[in-house]
Amino acid sequence: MKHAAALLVALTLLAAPAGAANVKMPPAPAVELEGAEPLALTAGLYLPEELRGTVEVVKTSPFDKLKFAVGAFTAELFELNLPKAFAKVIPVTAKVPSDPAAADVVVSVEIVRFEVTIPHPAYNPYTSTAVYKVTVSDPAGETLFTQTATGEGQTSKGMMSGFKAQGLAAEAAKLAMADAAKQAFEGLIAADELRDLAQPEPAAAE
Amino acid sequence: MASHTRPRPRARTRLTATLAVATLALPVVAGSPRKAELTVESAPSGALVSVHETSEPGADGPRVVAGETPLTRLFDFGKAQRLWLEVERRGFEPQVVEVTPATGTVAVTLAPLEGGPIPSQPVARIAVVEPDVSVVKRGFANEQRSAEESAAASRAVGAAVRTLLGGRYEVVDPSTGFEAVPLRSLWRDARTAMELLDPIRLPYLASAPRLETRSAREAARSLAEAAGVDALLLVDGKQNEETGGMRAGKVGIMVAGTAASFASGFSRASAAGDSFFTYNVYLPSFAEGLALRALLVHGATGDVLWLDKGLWKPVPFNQPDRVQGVASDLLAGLGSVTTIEEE
Repeated sequence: MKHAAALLVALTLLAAPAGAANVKMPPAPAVELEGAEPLALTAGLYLPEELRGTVEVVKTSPFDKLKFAVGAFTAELFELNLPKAFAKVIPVTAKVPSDPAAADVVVSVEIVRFEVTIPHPAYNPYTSTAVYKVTVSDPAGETLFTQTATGEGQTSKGMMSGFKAQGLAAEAAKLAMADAAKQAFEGLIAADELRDLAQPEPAAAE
Repeated sequence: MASHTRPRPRARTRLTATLAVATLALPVVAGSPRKAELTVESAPSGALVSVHETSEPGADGPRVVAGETPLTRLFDFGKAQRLWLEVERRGFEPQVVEVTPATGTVAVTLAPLEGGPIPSQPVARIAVVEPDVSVVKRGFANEQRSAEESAAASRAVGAAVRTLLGGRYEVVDPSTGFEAVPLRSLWRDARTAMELLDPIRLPYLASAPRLETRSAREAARSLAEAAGVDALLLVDGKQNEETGGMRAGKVGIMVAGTAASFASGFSRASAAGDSFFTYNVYLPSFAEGLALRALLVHGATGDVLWLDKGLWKPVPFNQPDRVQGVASDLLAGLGSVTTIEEE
């Protein structure tokens, strides 16, 4: 009985300091889109609170977890970079904006998949995969185009990694999300459906 | 004064009675057995059976596959004492059926998809898009992608894949290469398909998944048409290689750790006058390996016909035999696409 009580106390003490640490994400980077002209459209960017508040939790040991604020990072990434895909970007608070004339299209984002591998031992590679689904709809809410894009990231500081494991995990996550966003933006610019909308074909001669 | 440790007769009787009640109550507390044998049949047979703990299985994410019908297996029904089996076969509406340990045998009749049977997509001529294989050199204090070695690896994998496919298909090598812009569109959707699709489940999906965007499907059509082929094969991958510095560093740390453990054990044993002691031997582990994914897209429709992915030990890309061995593994299931042609 004494042993059981001692074990219980020991387990409680071990579990007490355990918890989920918030990983500090780096600022969202500027994504390079080579030789791509933005579409001549005004896009309303719809980033609901549900997306902004998305936090992915990765278990690193029986007692420890890392929390990645991927929603906030994604919102920052799209706010910063969507103007490279559309001539004008305005924030909208609903998928069907109250003023339909404010935007030609509404862009919304979904995080389909986010994975990050924290290696054991710590000097092995930190890898991450992110998949975004970007939906472009007209102001009435009708879907015009979807692009699901995948990004990957890997980083490591070799034998020095153990000193900055959280930072490396955040960097791998950043690389994966930035890669996925880049793929998505290139997909938007290449989309026939949106190009047609941006440059309507001239009416056929009578 | 000696103390009594044995229970008194009355207390012992009470203890025995408590144990008996507990033993009798055990099956009630534990409930019915969690595992039971179940036979799953389907008409037509040859359907994939996946096991879920909810009635609405998600399309994405990991899944437990029981096998192909007809099958008889021991299923773990868990605490809930129920499972849902998803039964899928190409050309038929998928079905989800609830089963319990008492079910015994479940027979599922699959309804054909609306619009009749799926037309076959014969593949006789294939073009292999230049693979995109990255080689990452992992050093003592950093790592980076080697452009030169990545290009060599991509060429080596491409050559091995073309050689292997040559025995089964007519492999066409477009003399002018592929146009860059449509190729980017194709890669974009192909990579997502490689990531999200499950190679085991793919042949059983009701209909072949299609590249998501019109621009990617149009890219597949135009590239296949330009090359004069039925389908395009895309291969991507990554190989992590540790540099000499990294390997030496790992070995050094492990040797130092082992030496420290030996010294500490020896010193403790000497101080205590023990005739033996124990110590730990630390062995280095090397984070190296090759990951490859391959995807076959039908040119005319943009349908994903086949997909495979896997992990291998690191491969020296300057040894064609070794590269062919891996490529042979990767392409092992591609024969199933030929079956479509034969049907």
